[in-house]
Amino acid sequence: MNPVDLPASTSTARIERFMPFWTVLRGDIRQTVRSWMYLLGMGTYAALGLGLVLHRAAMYRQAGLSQSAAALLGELLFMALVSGATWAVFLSAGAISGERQLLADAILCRGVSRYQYYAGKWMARVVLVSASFLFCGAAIAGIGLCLLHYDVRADGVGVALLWLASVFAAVVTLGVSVSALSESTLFSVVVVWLAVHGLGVLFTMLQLEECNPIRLCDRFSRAMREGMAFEELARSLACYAGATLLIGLVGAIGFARRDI
Amino acid sequence: MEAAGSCVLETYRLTKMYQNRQIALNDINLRVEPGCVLGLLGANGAGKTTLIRLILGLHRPTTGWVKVFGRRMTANAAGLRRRIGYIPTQPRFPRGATPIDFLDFTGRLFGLPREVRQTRLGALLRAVNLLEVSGEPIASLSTGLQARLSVAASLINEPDLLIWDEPTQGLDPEARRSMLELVKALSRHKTLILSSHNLSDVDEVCTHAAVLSRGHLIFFGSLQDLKGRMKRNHFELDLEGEHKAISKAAQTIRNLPEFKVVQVRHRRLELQLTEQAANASALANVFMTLADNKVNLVSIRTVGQQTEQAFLDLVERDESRGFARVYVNGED
Repeated sequence: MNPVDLPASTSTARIERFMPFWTVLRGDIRQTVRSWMYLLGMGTYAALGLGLVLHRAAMYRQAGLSQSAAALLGELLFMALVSGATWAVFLSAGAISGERQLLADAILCRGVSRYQYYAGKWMARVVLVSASFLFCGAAIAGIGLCLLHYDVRADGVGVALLWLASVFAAVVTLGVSVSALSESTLFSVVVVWLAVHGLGVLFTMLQLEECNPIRLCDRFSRAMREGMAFEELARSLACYAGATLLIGLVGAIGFARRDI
Repeated sequence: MEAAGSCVLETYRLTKMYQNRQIALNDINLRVEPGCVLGLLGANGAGKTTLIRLILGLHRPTTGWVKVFGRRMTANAAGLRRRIGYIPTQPRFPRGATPIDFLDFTGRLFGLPREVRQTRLGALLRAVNLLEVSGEPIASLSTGLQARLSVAASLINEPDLLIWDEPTQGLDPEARRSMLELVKALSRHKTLILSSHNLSDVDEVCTHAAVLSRGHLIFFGSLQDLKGRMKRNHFELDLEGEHKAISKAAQTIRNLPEFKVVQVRHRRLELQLTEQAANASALANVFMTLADNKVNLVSIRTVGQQTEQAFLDLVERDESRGFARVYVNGED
């Protein structure tokens, strides 16, 4: 090391205040997209979805059995909801606790606030998981529309996918929040998985309209066939957005108050 | 640098308890002025790293506060951390990252615009002699090279305050020497807090010292004050002259009441004064005796590493105080 070679102080450099947030967000998206968990989940969902669509298309074209695109897409979205929830839990519950080794000594000791870091991680996982399902679902729906009996409305498909994305946003937010508050990824995964599936069972037993996954599946098919009243959609989305924000805020405040 | 009179770091009654089970720090009051090089001393578990983490806002104080550059440090005080350069005890790096990736990532976390980041990154890699390995994965670099990278990362934001937690740990003698030279160079423009086990490092580069023992601050002041606490009563003199003359001089010195130990080994005279003896007059008597016997004095030094001895004395004294520690806070 040669102290003489150290760069001369250039006094106060301009600071881009939101750069730490974007750095965390971008880094997390890049890291997650490369992870085997993400690739395995998306690959499996895309392959199963495409396989089911092609199977039904073959039955329709070869055997002449009429296949409802709305029913098929409803099944696919239900499959995404049930199996994808577990995948989303695995993907989100290690978002912060998985980085515990680096957190204090390489990240939070720098010029990034806890809120910025948390928001970057949260946004990255919510955007990635929701966008992946939106993209994958839209692609499968497009193929289904081309190959099957045409009984769906494009706006109905959009509404159903938006709905699914909002459910995933809430699940991912719960995962990131628990991850921010716990020391161990394994613990986070167990807690979030039990919470998500336990709540699913509870909502089913209580027959809560907005959150019951079985009802949601019926609603997906109906929405795709008939579209959806704006008020109903807005109420449903507001319910999930409210839950997402509340869980996210609790996670952010808890994370800002804990020792790293 | 801060304006004159302002304080870079201040802690007031800083206390940290973990889950009401462990008291890591208790009632720490510190005040670090600009330009100070503070050595943070203490045994393992004394609370050095906890103190550093509280200063950085990584931990929340149980009671009391930390102010950096006059503002309270919190978990969200990113603006304050932009003025701090930190090296942890065992630096960790993102998996698969190269030195360039890591420095760029660190620069981004400080919010530095691309042009500033890239310029500093290149200059720092050159300064720490990492240009040749700047594209290699960090995991493949030696401990010494990783330590240099940590130095570069801690300087990328051009901080006013540097906090280095045991920066010479695990370094070979050459790298350690370079690190100390770097600290000396940086201390001309910046305020530094160095946590170290190595007391000779602290002795060489620090102007002030804070000594922690089991979460208590038992000394805070200049290094000179710390050394001054140690009674210098043990000396070694290298002599030149005939054996007979040296032995005769030693015998004369043994008869002086100020000395409790007088030993001669291969023209080296070891002297230990009694507790009551004034060292200046006792040594004056020694020099006169040597001159009378025609023995030349080649060199004279105090025995033992002064800072180390003072540190050990402080810890020992703190331990021996027992319950009196409740009433007497900090240095006596």
